[in-house]
Amino acid sequence: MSDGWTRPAPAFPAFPPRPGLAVEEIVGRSIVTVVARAGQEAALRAVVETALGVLLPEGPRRVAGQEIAFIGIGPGKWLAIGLPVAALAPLADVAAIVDQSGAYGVLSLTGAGARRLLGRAVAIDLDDAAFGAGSVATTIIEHVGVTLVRTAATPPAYELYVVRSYARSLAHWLHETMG
Amino acid sequence: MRILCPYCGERDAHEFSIRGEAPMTRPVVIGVPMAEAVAALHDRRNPPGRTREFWYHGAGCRSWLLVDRDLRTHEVFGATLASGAF
Ligand SMILES: [Zn+2]
Repeated sequence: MSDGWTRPAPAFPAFPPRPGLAVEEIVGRSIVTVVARAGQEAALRAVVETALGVLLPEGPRRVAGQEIAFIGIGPGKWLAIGLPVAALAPLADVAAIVDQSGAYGVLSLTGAGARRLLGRAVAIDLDDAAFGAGSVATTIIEHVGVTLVRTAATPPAYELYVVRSYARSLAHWLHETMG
Repeated sequence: MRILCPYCGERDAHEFSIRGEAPMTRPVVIGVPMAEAVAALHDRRNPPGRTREFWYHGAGCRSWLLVDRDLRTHEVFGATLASGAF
């Protein structure tokens, strides 16, 4: 590849479309963990704002800039989505930057059926009032750890990040539950 | 039982694992007799009633929490991040 990194292969089998529900794998997305070094969270916040034009979310939220989105996964920890790890080099003095593009499988779930399906998957409140666009939850689906992101309000759109080696287990659950 | 994680929000207890009663001060385990170090690390009083415990949110934000709860009723009064508490 011309930009110097190898895109991972698909992690999931195909999901046939259902009425009101499209489940598709997002392939080739750059995913980088950004973890603030001890006592450097404020400094990291400032560098991210200056270098990337994004205000890091304080809690489990997704904030998107022009080229990059940040997903809060824990105190001082984010997934940076969209730019290759080399583009995050300005953050390296104040944060640990690790490419995870090959470590995750990513699904997009869209349509009115997406929330109904996810409602059977996670033990969190998915109502619009509690889990509107930009909301993030790191939790479990059938014993498999996932990070769930609400990317759009209408039509309801979500992304599901799962550690790649569990992708087929999650796919099995989805196939069974989608019917 | 549900625990209100200060980062993630309210979550089912099975997303967490318990580490036991949290001491009020950081245990001293270096430069003391071995028996004292072992006691400081491993002995827990398991008192009935309201207790402060360590819980780990391993299926969520992967933070250690200090959870204030009642061991008799399982009522959870609150939780804070353990980081910086000692
Ligand atoms: Zn948590």
